[in-house]
Amino acid sequence: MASQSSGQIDPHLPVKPVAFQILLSLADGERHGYGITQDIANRTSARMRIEPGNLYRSLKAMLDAGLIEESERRPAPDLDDERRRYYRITPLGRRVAVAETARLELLVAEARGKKWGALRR
Amino acid sequence: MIGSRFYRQLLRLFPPAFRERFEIDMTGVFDDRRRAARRVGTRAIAAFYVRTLVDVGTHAIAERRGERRRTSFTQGVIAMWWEDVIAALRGLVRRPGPALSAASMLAIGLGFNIALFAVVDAVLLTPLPYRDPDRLVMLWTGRNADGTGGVNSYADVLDWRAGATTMEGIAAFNISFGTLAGDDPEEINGSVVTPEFFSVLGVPMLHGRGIEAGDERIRSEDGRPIVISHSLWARRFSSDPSIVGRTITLAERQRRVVGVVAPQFAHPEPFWYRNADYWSPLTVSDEMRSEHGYRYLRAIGRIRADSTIAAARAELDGIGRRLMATYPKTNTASVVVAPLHDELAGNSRPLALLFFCATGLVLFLGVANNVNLLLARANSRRTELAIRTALGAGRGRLATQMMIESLMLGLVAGLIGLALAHLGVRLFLSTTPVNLPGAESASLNPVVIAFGLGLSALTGLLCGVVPAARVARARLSSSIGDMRGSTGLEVSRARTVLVAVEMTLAVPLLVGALLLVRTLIDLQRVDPGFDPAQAMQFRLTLPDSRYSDGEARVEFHARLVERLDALPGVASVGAASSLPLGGLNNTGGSIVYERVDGSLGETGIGMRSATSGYFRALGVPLRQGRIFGDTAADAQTVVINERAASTLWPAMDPIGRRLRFGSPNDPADQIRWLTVIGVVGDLRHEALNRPGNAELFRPYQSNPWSTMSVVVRTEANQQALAQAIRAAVREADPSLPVVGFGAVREFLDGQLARPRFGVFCALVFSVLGLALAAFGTFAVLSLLVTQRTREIGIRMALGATPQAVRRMVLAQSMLPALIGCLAGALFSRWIGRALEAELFVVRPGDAVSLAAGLGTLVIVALAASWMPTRRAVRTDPIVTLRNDG
Repeated sequence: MASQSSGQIDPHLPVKPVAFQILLSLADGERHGYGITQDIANRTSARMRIEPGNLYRSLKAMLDAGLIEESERRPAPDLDDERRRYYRITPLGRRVAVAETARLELLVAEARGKKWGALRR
Repeated sequence: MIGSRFYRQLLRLFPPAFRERFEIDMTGVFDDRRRAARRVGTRAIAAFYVRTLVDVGTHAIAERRGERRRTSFTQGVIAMWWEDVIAALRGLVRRPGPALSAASMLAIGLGFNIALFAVVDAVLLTPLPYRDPDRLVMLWTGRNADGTGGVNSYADVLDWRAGATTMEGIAAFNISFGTLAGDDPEEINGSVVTPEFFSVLGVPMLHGRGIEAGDERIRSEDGRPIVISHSLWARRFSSDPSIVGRTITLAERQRRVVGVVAPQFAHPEPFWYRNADYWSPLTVSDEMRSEHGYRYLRAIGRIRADSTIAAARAELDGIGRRLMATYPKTNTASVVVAPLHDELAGNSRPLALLFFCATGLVLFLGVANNVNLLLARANSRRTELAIRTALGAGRGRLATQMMIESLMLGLVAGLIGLALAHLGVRLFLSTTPVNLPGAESASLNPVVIAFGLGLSALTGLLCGVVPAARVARARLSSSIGDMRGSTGLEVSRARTVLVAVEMTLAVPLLVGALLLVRTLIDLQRVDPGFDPAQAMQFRLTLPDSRYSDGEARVEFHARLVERLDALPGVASVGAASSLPLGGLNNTGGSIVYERVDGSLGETGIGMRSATSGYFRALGVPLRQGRIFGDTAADAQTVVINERAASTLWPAMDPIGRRLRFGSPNDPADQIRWLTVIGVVGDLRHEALNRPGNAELFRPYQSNPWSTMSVVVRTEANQQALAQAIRAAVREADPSLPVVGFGAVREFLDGQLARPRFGVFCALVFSVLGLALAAFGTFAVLSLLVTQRTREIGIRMALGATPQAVRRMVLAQSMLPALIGCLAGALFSRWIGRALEAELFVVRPGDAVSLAAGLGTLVIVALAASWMPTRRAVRTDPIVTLRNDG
């Protein structure tokens, strides 16, 4: 992709919900695929479940976009299955996540300002 | 269950590059999630698989599309497919006629295949009810000519056990039957077994224990242990758990019940009754340990977990060959190691294959017809498709739409097919005479339903491929200006090929059916050698305790004959040790006979014991001499059959000649010659399709067997006499069970049951096949005439005669029919050979059947062409041409 190496954030916005969740999962540290799905399920109280096909397609797109990268570091072999790949967030990914958060905040603030009538909670 | 191997297969849907990169990780996640789902429960697993399928399906396609366009299409694709599904369903509901007729053609084929799969699933794919059944083998000493295993001696089994390191254990057992005493004495089947039997098979016990080592040394006065079946326990002992430890009387002996086997256990008997109701210890004598020639035992073994069947085969063959070298007189064959499953399923595997071919052909005919219909529809929809193309629909999009339509068609057909299969399985189970272990449990279980739906989807897709490919290739945009759609030759040629293929497939179905029909006719014409009409039979076993000597037995049968003879309506009464086609007690041995020149000959012969009235009662004709009477004067006489007469004394008068049992070297003081006093007609003793063997009949008074079959010939209505006959037996001895009471006719029916069933199935298949082929011909020709109406009109306007038009149209249908016939004739040679084992008299390459089959097909093709041809001839050139304007 054209934007891969550059530090531009805008082309990556808005971030798709699945990608945003993955970024959130990786914000605290490296994880492997199953760890990401587990973390997302935990954080969303299992409202959001990501199947492997969906997950790895998103991971691929995010790798291609430079939002995340594969980690060359592995935990001690006895701690985990060696064949698994770990992923971590890139500086670009971190900035995109922050920008997306700001965008969402703006959106939420805007939404709060509207009169929703009966639908308002 | 679906494991990670299946998942990796599924991942092939993704582009190769993607798969290479992520396959291992994705499979890992799949495994983890599957494990998590399994902990939750069955429903979670089911939901997990559904989600997995949807996930892989949608994302694989999105990824493939994305490769090309770098944008996510998931949502779009699903919406598009959904739109097509809705459109297809809407089309189905709006015009159900054509779709349903198309679906029903597929449904017939699908129904047959699903029903057959249900039976095959129950018989061949369901594991036997033993522990690790795959490691169980039957061990035989060679094979008999009819494919049954050669029985073994106890001495052999001991040597096998001593030498075989590949086997965990080897058990020996034999058939057994006896009368269970009680208010209603009953003869039951069972088995005598060595102590290893229960451990080798891993017999599940409901109560108590199995037969153990040492049980065979407990005398019957002390209550020799016996294990009973679940069904006997339920039937005779009202499922009373306190039966264990109680004593029952079987065959006049005291037996102490030590256990009841679990209901799912089935006795592993390959050739005799499988409904064994008891297991008792096999008594082993010193002779049995040493005599390799005492052959009557079945043997079953369990292969060690760390060994293989090939290793066991090699090792036991080696042991068998060593035994042959050591005991050349008694051991004439090596050891055969056969998987238990194969032995019990018997010859059902080739039969299943044959059936799958037939059902597969029917399904294929349905598919061919559907392809035809869809092609025709695609043709008539050219305009619609062209407009959609003009509006921007891609060819891939149109092809996808057609595939989805035919997929829906396949699934609708599958639902009808499942209903048909449900009926089919029940019909099959109620009509089949073939003894298939486990067949009674055949049903539409989830596996069968999954198979059915999978097959339906596949069939649907298969039907759609050709039309979809055509749409994808065609330049539809040109069709808008060509709304009349004179389609040209290409399409009709494709369909003509289909008709030829249909004919090709119908021929073997038809020829196979005709071969079986001829077999049945020939079998019904066979003279069994006796007159089954108005004769009834039953079996009696006189217990040794009360009929210890021959005189008591002779006296009993004399008394019984007297009582039965006295009944009004009884014409004649007799008894014999074994009835023809009765399947029991086929005894034989070798005899010595005096040739004309005084030298001695030796031969094998079938031996029966019979009372004087037996031949008249069964309707066996006397050819020469006379039948022995029930008097002491005739004690040393013998009656032989024609086959025996021509074997022993060819072209000579056998009356007055002598024969005896034993061997030519017997000491003179032990020789007792028997004189031939009569010759009777040959009986087909073993099977209707096998000519009778040489037989001799000894008078009962000098050969008083304990088990005899009594034959009663009646003058009129035999049903009314049944009660009187039973009463007469009760009067003669109140505690004797009457076994297998029925008409002699039933033996013949039993022989005809299998060929009759074969004919029934074959006729169903071939009539369906013919109907489908005829429909295909009709449809193609109708379409052709419609398409060429203009051309025909012009030809007629230019002076073509109706005959010429008729010839032209007929050539269109008869050419593919003839090509199909020729190709089909080649296939039918193969089906004939596959059916060979079921045929009698008629040969696999029977020309009459082939000619009749081809003739029928040509006539059907002509009949199917009749309507379209007539329509073509009646074409009014004026109307046609006016419409053209």
